[in-house]
Amino acid sequence: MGQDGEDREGRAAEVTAHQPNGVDDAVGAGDIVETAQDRHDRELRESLREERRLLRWEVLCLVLVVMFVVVRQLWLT
Amino acid sequence: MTSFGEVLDLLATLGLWVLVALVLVGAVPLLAATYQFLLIGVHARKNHYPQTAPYEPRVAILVPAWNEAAVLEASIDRLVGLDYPADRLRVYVVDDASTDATPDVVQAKGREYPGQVVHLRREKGGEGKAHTLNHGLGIILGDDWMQALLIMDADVIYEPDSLRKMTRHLADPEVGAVTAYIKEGSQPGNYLQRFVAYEYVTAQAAARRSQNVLGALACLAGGAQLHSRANLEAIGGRIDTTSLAEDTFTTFNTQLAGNKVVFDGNATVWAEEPDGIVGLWKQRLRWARGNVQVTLRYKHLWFRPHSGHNLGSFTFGVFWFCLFLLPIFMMVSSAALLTLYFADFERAWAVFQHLWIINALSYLFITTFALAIDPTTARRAWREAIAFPGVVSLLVILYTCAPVVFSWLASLWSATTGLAWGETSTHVVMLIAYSWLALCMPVAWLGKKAEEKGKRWLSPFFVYLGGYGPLLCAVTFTSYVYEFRGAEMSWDKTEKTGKVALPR
Repeated sequence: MGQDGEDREGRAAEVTAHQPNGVDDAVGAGDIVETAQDRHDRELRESLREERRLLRWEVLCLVLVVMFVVVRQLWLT
Repeated sequence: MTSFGEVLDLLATLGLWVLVALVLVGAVPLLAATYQFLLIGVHARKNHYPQTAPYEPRVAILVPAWNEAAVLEASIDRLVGLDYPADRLRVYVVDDASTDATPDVVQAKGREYPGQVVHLRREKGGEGKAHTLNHGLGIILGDDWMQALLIMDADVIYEPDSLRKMTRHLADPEVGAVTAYIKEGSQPGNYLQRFVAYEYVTAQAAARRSQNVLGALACLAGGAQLHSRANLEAIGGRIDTTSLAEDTFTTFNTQLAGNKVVFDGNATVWAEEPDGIVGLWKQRLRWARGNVQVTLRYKHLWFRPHSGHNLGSFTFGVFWFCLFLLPIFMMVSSAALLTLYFADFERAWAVFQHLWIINALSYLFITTFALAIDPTTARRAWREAIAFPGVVSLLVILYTCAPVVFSWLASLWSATTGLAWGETSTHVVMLIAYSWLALCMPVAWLGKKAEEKGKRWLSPFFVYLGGYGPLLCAVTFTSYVYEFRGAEMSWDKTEKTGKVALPR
């Protein structure tokens, strides 16, 4: 592991087991508690999913533009 | 042997082609914007997310405040309630010699949240945001509690998870600063605020993603910039006070210090933007003048690639100057088209059509994609997205894309009214259309004049007719004039009323 990786791991180790404000009190016996790492992984997945959604829309919009050019050439000029 | 007449012919032909090239210059900014939007797809693969980790440093939130009593109480409550460990969060409000109840509000909150809310007071105020920030920075950097600093505006509302989504990037020690997606959040908001909402989709959610791909960010949003302590120390522990664009200077200095700057489009904050053109004009003129100052101050950077940062990359330079010189591009294109109209009528018509077809395709791609990027804003501001270039430009786009429809409408009009569409009318319409790229700016500017004359009800007409984009171009053009004249740098604070709210 390089210096960057060690630094990153060191920083991540500083994270305390934290629950969103107000949630700690509500956690009861048998409840599944989401750790900081779990929450980070979930948010990371959500962020990456959003970026992939934008990629799909970009392709769709490009297809729309191409279709528009075809329609224009065939019927609108 | 070439005769004098042949030389003249050659020069005339050359001149005509130069004019054609100058007309097509008008399409360059939109083509650059299209490329910028294309890079968003690349962001799905090339982003900073793989380098993030769960990291919650001790964050000092620095809130500059001058007469912000109306919004501070709720702001502080929301900051303290962020989804972030309470023992790792402190709010420092730098009261810039406020004359309203700001000190009382902050002190009351200090008692309510002991150890978490700190009131700092400047006795001499009105020097601008950078001075206010520096007052707080000096104190916060004075002890070693702070590991990261969030600079924000008093009225900005952070979504509960947004700070944590920003700090995760600081787990990478190469990152010096992170910014979030600022959205216009006035409730209910008027037509101008909806224009701003759409503008922020294009200028932030879209443009900053593509800048992430380039590895060079133009600006950390003034209301949402998170710095690591190391970065603040690397840039000298203070904010530049010699310009009107302190946030852009901080962004550039961070990257020049060798630190990465990251935009997280999934960390969202909400801000209140001006509800009138006069207020918007003041705010944007300050920003635009700041951009002139940045362009001149960093003139040694442009188009000069450097191993330590990407601010000198060709693509980043093109993006920067296409925005910075947009009014010039538009005026040059229009002037060349009008000259061509008198010099070579047929060629003028052909190049006009090509120019606007390029504009139409760019507009179609950018508008549909921008609306898809942020569906919440799309539902609220889709009309303003469509009208962004102005209704007249939209008609020109529609005409160049579907002339057959317009011909049919013209014949229908003639049949219904009995009036023939004469040649003179055609030429008048052509001259207006040819000059519209330049003309749209003063038309949009009339919206500001109407508001200044007390006819606020008339302003939307001019903004929709001329376009919100051209209104911003008019601001940019005014900024050249102000900077050229060496006008005084006054800090016109944008008035906030606390109408911003998180969407339900």
